[in-house]
Amino acid sequence: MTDKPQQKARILIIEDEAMIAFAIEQTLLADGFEIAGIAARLPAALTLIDGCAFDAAILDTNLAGVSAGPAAAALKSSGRPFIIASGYPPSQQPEVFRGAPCIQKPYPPKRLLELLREILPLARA
Amino acid sequence: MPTNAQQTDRSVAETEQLILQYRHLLENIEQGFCLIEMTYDEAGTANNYRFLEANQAFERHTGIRNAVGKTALEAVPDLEAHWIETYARVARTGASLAFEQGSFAMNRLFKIDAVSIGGAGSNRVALIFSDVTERRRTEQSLIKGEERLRLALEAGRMAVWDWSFESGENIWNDAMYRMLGLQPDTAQASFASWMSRVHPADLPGVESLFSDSLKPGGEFHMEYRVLGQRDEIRWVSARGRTNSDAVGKVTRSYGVVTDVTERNLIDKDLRLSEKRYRRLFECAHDGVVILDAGTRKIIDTNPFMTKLLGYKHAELVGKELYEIGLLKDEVESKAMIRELNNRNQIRYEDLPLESRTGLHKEVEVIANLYNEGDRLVIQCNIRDITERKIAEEHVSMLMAEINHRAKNLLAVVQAIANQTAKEGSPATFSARLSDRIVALAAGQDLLVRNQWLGVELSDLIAAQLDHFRDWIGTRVMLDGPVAELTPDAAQGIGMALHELGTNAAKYGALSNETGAVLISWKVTKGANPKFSITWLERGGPKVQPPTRSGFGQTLIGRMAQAAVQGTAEINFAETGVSWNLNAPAANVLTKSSLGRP
Repeated sequence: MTDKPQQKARILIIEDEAMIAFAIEQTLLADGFEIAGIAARLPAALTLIDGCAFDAAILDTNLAGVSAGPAAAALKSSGRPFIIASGYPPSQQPEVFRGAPCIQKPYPPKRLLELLREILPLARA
Repeated sequence: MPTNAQQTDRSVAETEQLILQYRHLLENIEQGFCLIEMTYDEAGTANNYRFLEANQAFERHTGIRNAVGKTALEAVPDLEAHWIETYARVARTGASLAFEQGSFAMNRLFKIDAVSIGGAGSNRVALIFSDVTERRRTEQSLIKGEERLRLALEAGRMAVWDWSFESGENIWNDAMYRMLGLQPDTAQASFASWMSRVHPADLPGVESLFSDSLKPGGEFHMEYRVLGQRDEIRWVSARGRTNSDAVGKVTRSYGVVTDVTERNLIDKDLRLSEKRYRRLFECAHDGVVILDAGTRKIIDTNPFMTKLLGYKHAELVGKELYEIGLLKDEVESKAMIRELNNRNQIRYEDLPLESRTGLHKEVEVIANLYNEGDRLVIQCNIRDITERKIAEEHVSMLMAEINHRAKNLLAVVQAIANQTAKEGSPATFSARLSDRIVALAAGQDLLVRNQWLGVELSDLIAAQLDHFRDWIGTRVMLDGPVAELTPDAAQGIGMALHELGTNAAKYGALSNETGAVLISWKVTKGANPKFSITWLERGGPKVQPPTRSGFGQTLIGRMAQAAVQGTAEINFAETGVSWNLNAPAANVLTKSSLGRP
């Protein structure tokens, strides 16, 4: 890991389960990413998408019983890449979440990091 | 007999007069008359006879015209030989003969008196005869008719009575005795013995109806019970009439009685069966539609069907299935009939149906083809499965939700495992991880028991401090109002309590013989109520603040904060650890708990 252009990349975590958000955070920090913010509810997520500096996001599809669809739409229109991390298989997810790479919970932390590296250069190109 | 002398004494004129009188008589009698003369062959055997005279009636009785002068074989070429032989015998012997004889050649039956004229050895015979063919036929048919009537009465087990009031004679046939459980040779045919066998409950009715019928033109018709053979109760149907004379006096009552027990039983069974299936049809919670397989039009529908579709019965009858929104079009309708002809039964699942008001229904249809008398009909049972579909969708949604929750939970376990692995030695990892998973599971248990709606805080504390349950009320004191936590708050607060308890048992107030823990919580009143919970240890060993922040600290601090969007503080005072969590009550308590006074 000598040359990692995305080392400084700032990641927004949108996840209602504190424990999982914490685990993601620990995983990302350990790999040299920066945390742009953590949102556990939809309003907070929309605020952060609109207001904070981030390069990519990790999005849970369900935030305390509320669909994260509006957050997905906001991310799409912001032009920044994101990963869907959900307990639902992609086939059961609403249309609004299609198109983004999807990782199904529970997942190996390594896989999340790989996916992030895949989407980040595209965002910077 | 007159003597020859007397005969000669009579005048020729008188004799001629007498002959004329007899001739006139013979000429005009009802019967046929003829005088024949036998003819013989060379050997002296009679071979024919000739008609010498014949009266007016002769032709009517024989069908032979202008017989006089003809021989019998000229008049009737294939006349049977026995006629000639018989008359020859009469002529030869002089003995008269009365007999009945048929002739196939003439297709007639005759009753004949053959009288020799001139005594023995004469060759002349007088025949007085009648064609009795018709009379015999009538008699024959009368006998046959009587036989038929008897057979009919017996076959129909018809009993007959005939009671003459003039002679007092009451005549019954054998069936009448048997029907009343009586023996023809011992019982008396009488009105009294009849009534003695009528069922007591029906007796007044029978007596009154019968006596009412005893008037000119009176009739009697009634079904009632009698005691039959071996006193078995039988239903009979009696039908009678009354004759009367010119002055209106009743002279006779007669009629027939039939046993209708079996018929009544069948009728009763039919009525019951009809009632039962009618009720099934009327009350079924399935729609039933009966179609004529030939015209494909609806013959009948049950009330549920009209309810299901919102059309009146009369609006449905005469329509085709596609006209009531069941099948798409006539093509599909015809296809169904074709298929039914091949298979007799079809089952359609998930057929969409639209009611009159446009309400969409999911239905399941089972169609059967069968013969109803002389026509083929199709019976369609239509089951509204809208509710079932909704339930199925609900189950499917729940399964997806369970799947989601399970995976989320596994992700949480994974996170806990990863973080637990970072602290302490590998030797203690398994035990610490197990403890934390048990703590997580304790909260889940309570949630499931309460349909995932919420967890009562005191229950949560008891579950998380299960190791110390014997000390609850003594060394572990609880103090706070009834409060139901949301699933998220329960998980965050539960995990924090578990870590606090573990630490207290290892290093704090529960690690010695005397220390105690006070857990207190409260909810403030007002427009934006606040929830706070405090863990306070006293009486434990002197507290040493931890040198580094492990995952346990994260659970007590950050995780608890995140779960309720609040603030957590931990204080390592020498006298004892204290922990405090504050959050808007709306983030902690369920809606029903918030609404509680």
